Amino acid sequence: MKKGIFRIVATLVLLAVFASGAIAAWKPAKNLNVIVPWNPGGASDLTARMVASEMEKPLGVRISITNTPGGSGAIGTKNMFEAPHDGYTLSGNATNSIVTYQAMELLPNSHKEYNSYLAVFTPNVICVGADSKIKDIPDLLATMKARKVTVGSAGVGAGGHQAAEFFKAATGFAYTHVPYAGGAPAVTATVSGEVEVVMQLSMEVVEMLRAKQLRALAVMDKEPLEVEGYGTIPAITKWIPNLPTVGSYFGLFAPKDIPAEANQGIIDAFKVACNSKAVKDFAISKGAKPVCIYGAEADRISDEAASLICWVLYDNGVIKTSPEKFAIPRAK
Amino acid sequence: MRRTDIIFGILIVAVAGAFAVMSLMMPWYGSEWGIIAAPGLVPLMLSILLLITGLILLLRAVFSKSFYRSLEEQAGDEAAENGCEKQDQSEKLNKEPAWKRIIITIGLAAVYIFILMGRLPYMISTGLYVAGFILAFKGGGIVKSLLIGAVTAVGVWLAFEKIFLVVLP
Amino acid sequence: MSISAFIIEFLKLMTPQTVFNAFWATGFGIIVGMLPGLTATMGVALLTGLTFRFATDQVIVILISVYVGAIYGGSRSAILLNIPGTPANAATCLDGNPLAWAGKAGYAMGLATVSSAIGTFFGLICLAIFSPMLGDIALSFKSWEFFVLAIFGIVICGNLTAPKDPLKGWIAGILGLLLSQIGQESIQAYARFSFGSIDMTGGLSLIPVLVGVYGVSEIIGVMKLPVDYTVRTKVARIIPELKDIFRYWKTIIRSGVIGVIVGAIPGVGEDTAAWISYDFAKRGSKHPEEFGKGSYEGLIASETGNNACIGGAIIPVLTLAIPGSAPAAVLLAAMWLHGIRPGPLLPIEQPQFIATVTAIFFLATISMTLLGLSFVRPLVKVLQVPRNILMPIIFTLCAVGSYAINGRLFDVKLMLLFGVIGYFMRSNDFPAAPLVLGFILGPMADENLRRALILKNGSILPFFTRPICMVLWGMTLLVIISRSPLPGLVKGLFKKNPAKAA
Repeated sequence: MKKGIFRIVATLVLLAVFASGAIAAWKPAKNLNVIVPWNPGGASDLTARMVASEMEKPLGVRISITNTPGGSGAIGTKNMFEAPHDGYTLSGNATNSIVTYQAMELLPNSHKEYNSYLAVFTPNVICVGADSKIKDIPDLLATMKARKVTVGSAGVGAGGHQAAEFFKAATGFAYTHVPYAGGAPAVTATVSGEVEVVMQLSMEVVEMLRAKQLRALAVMDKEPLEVEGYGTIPAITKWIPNLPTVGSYFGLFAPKDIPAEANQGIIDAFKVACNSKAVKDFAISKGAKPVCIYGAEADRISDEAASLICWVLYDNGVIKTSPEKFAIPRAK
Repeated sequence: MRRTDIIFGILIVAVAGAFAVMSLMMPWYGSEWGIIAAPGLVPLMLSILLLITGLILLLRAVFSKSFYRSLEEQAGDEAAENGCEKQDQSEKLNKEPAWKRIIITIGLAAVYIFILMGRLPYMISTGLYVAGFILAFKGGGIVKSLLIGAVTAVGVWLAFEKIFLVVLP
Repeated sequence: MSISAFIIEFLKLMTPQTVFNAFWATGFGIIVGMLPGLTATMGVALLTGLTFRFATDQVIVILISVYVGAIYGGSRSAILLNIPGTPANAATCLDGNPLAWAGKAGYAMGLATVSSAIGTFFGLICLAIFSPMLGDIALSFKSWEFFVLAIFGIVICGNLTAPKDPLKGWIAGILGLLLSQIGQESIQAYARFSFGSIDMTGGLSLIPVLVGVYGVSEIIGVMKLPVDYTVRTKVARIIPELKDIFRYWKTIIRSGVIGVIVGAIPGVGEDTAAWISYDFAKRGSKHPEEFGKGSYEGLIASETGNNACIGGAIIPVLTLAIPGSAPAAVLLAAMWLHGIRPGPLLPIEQPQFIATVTAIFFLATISMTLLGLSFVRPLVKVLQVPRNILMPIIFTLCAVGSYAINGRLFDVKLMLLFGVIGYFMRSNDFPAAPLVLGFILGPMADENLRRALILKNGSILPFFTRPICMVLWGMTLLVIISRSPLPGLVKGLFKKNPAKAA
């Protein structure tokens, strides 16, 4: 009897020791570094800065942000992979970007090699200039049927271009693609009237919408989007029911093989950040939805995004090699 | 000047030619816009421009004697005007050939960047470089060089890593 | 915006905390500007991160102060070491450094300080009064205008080169343009000249090239001299004599106007503003032959132009939420992060904000002037340090600067490569300025040419029929004709005849 109790107590003590070891918060020994492979001011940069600043307190160290733009974000991402995989070097990017790097032959790393910590979901919004003759989606469809419309984007294979390709796939209307060096110049070009339509992320157009420089025709989602200071943007499914939701998740990324306790530590701090008022307010003010996705669910989102995006880009000749070679199955 | 211009002329023509050939090897018709948006368009135009100007330089250096004579006259006039002290002094005290100093400067820098940086912690690689440089150019003895090297390395490291929050190699 | 609004906002800034922040931020900016390789953009970005938790109004004070400080600060290393601290100060080297060699380093720095202050002040006046009008410039520049502007900028290269041999200037400029095409281009994301290396796909960044061509080549050049050559500098007078400033009032106004307009054009920043100001000053000067040898006028033109550009660059930020230059883009991002919403609604939502920004500018100008003028003497002592010790330290700073901007070791290697190339170029009369300018304008020319062709299906007609394009072509032609042998030939014809006739 005493032996039995002794065994139970011993097991409980051992369990307690293990448990406390497992959930002991990871205390980073030095500052973290988040590499944002884009220019400052863009959606990835702003999201990374907001989230990182809220993660500093729970982790107990400073988090510095380095901007290393170039190669559609591939260069900065490469720097992250080249740094030791110890959890101290992260990158701030979007799912839709990282899933394309391997297929576009910019990096050898598949999207499965990342741990994603997603803080914000921002759908793409179809916009025209404030003084455009196109007033709503039926107008746009009619115009596109009659002639090729110019659509600006942040670059070949980038978010706005992906959205335009999805739109073309669903409606069958071709367009003249006009690429710019990023989301901001593409939006500016629509404001100035240089291009007619732009399908960039809500985070990139929201300020211009509020300033009445742009008119939003629809959000590429199943539900309308409320933008405070502007109004409600109708859902595209009202007119084109078979268009999938087009949007991007933004957040932090790390190599998959960082130590488990580092990963857990980041997740814990990340959860605190996502639930903070600052991050939530930031997301909503930018017309985006605050989320808190990591681990297996984030991986699933990556896989889905890869399947959808890489195949659309391949079918339209943007990506030259079939995504099958990278073990990316077609979306169902 | 004439000799170096000939060398430069040849180099420039070669570089321009290489770029032109590489531009032509880029895809010209593959995209949705056709040739007007070809990635090789502007590089090709620039390579041709560079080729032409490089050729002019080369031909002028080979054939035009009068141009170089007038250059020398101008240089002579200027030197008389400014009193070009720098050059006079350096001619007089020209014990060491200038080439040696150039090679040492570049060599030390190359060792620092290609061999030391990234492999050794920043403070050590930088300290070694600065100390090595001062020693090589006889700016001080071993102690002084190492001291200045150390101070520089630590100072820069502190400023950049701690205050500017920039990660150093 | 009325004077009273400005005065009210300025008085609001007179709290100990605000003034303290303005001073240290300006000082930090000056140091960042002085260090080769660290740019104003980087300074603003660094402080955006550091001040994330500060109160919004303090953040704006700090960021504008850093911006002003950095663009001015680069003039110090340009004058003392012939190494521009930021790309905006490259034109300052041309006349600032010869002045230092002539023993007038202190005076040159004082002149640079005052010019920068006047330039900033000019910029803020334009910001206050002409904001709406100048903001519209930002929207009227489309792909065609950018392309012709790039051509104009490149043609100026010919004028900026050593008057002895314009051909070499052209070669340097075209080479710069060509090399800037390396890397992933933004129309098709095709990696040009990348030889399969991901680093080359990112292209050659401006800062390593600038620091290499100006900084490292300068170091090699200095080490080549056998004698340890120190200049006996008497810092007699730092604050420029009023007559020197008033004599060049036309240059000052002209550079200010150019700076503000170039600033208002999105994506074209302080570096281009300085060069265009310098070029126009040389062209309009009574003593153009002095330019490049220590002309006060050249120094004034460059520093007034690049600082006036700051005010110009902030105008589209406030009126349209479009940045006029790279540091202004970071400033805009910082404003967004802190909940400020610049744009056309600003006069309605926060009408006093423009007055606030103008007042902050004024405060930054004052702190820049005070700090700038007080720290001349200690800095001039830098010239006395034996170069065997000074050069490796500067090289270290150059290397860090090149690394810090993008965090790649590749950039530091690039810096050394361009240092060697730059050295051999400069010692054979190939000027460095057009190479760097070609680097800056190359991507602008390439992208906008092809995008303009895409927009109108290959038609080149708009390049010649759009009004702003026509103006720019006109100015370009003027530059070409003045540099070509045509005027010389015409003059030559007339010279020969009198001899015959007599």
